[in-house]
Amino acid sequence: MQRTGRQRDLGAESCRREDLRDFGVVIEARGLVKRYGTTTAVDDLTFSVRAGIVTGFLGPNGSGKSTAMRMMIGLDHPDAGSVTIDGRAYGEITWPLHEVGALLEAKALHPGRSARNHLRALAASNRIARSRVEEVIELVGLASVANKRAGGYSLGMGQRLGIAAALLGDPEVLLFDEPVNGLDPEGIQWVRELLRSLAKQGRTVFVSSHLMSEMALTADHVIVIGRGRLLEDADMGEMIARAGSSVSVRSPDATSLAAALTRSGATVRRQADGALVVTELDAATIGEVAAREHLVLHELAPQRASLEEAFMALTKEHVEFGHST
Amino acid sequence: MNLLPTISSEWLKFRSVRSTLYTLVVTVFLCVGIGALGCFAERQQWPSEHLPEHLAFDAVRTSLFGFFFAEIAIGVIGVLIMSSEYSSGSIRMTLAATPRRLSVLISKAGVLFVATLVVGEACAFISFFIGQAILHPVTPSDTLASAGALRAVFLAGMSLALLALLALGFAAMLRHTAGAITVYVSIQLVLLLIVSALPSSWNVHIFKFLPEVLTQSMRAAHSNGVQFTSFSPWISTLVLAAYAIASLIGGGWLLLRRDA
Ligand SMILES: Nc1ncnc2c1ncn2[C@@H]1O[C@H](COP(=O)(O)OP(=O)(O)O)[C@@H](O)[C@H]1O
Ligand SMILES: [Mg+2]
Repeated sequence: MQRTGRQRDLGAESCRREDLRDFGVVIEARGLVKRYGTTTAVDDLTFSVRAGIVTGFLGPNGSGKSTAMRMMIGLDHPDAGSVTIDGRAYGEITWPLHEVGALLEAKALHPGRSARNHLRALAASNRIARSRVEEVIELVGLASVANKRAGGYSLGMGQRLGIAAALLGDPEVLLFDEPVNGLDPEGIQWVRELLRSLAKQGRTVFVSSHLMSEMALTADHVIVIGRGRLLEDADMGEMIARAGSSVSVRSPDATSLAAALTRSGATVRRQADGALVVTELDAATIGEVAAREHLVLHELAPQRASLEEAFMALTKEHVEFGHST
Repeated sequence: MNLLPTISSEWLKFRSVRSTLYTLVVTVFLCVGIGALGCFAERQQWPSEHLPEHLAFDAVRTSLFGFFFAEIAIGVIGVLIMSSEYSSGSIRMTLAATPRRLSVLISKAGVLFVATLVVGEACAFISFFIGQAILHPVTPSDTLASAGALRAVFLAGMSLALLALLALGFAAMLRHTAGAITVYVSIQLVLLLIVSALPSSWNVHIFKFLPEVLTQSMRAAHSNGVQFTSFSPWISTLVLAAYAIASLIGGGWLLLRRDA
């Protein structure tokens, strides 16, 4: 593998994110499709992941993130399309742990085997030195339980062990599937810093989450999917800007108002307290629509949408208010 | 294709699960203990038995009576080294580390074969010596130099290693512990009962193909006492090996085709 991030890392400390974007594309997914029976878990997904930044892979539960990641490391066979890492299919890499580290869903451990033996077996399979096993055990903070049987580990400990396994071969490419699941706040903070520092060293970091708020704190770039389809592929800054604004509207006849606004091209979402969150129409236009329809308004308040709302708006298919209601 | 790293990884996995090691040790004790009990029983019966029984008597096979039970324990181990990867989810990490999936199966098979061969031979030789010592005062007994004795003892150990591979192949195909053990036990025991219930004009042709009959033939010093018409010990070994290989090929084929 020629692309050694750490050689180019010399000035990374002083680099701003913009500079790091020149590291180039490392992972490329083209037209990925995966079906399970009648469900299409991943639907014609095309994206690329660059080195030197944290790329977030965002989508609600069941949107196909884990499936896509399993295809990236050759565990699931795509029904169509392909993924390459450094120009090759994962299966063509001879000792893959040296080049790609992956954390899959937690608790992929034989309950009768200790963390140390689990890591030693992985290390042996890829000709990684035993001393490295001790290093990663230290790094993830499992030293005190490394000889205990994994069956007794908490979700968080399993997660740390999974991260240790991903880091074992000191790879340039790291794939993490929901790494903060089951971690306490301290652990979450630790993972964030780890991801950021790995990217800073010039590595390619691809991390999935179903929480926009989590991504906002760690990712430089986000790929958003919903029901297996690509919804958004943008830099975090762009995403924040594009989140734009929404208008909070209250009306005693919310249902009719929502229908009217939808007809006028707005996207409308009803909140638990009955308020409507309207995007794609400004407050003035909303007021005009309401007047035209003779609908009473109790509130008409422009809001700056949060990222979380932008994400919800993206992934929520066509909102609850269709034309029928 | 360098298999050594994969083999050393699988060997480490094999020996780092305590329950596997316990099962192997228990298998040896069970096999030797039941064999010894069988020899005691035979010693008691001997004076009341007649010429036909005495002619059919095989001191080697009698001392290896415990293998009937060891076969089940060894099958469970063969199943577990594969199925536990699926039940725990660790198969994904295993295949991510070694994307050449056949290397994984071949290495598991190699480690399992060597380990169960060592255990099988330990079972066979210890059972043989203890059994002969128990039989000796009353019935005819054998030494390793007796006709067919060394072959029978060696092949008895080998039969366990081949059965372990057969079970491994089942687990690779079925991926579920309970399912694979059920199939294995069915083939070892239930099939024997079913075939016995068939008209005898048919079953004489079928019996010799059953794994249990193959292993009985493998651990017999002479064919006088073997219950069923069977292949010779060496042919039986080849047939059992063919089953094991077929099972592994089936497992390997599915391992390549399916999602992990
Ligand atoms: N092995 C499988 N068999 C059948 N359906 C599956 C399998 N894996 C995932 N799915 C389905 O595919 C969809 C995507 O799942 P997944 O990739 O786990 O989503 P995410 O990781 O984003 O939560 C879901 O509808 C899920 O039920
Ligand atoms: Mg998932």
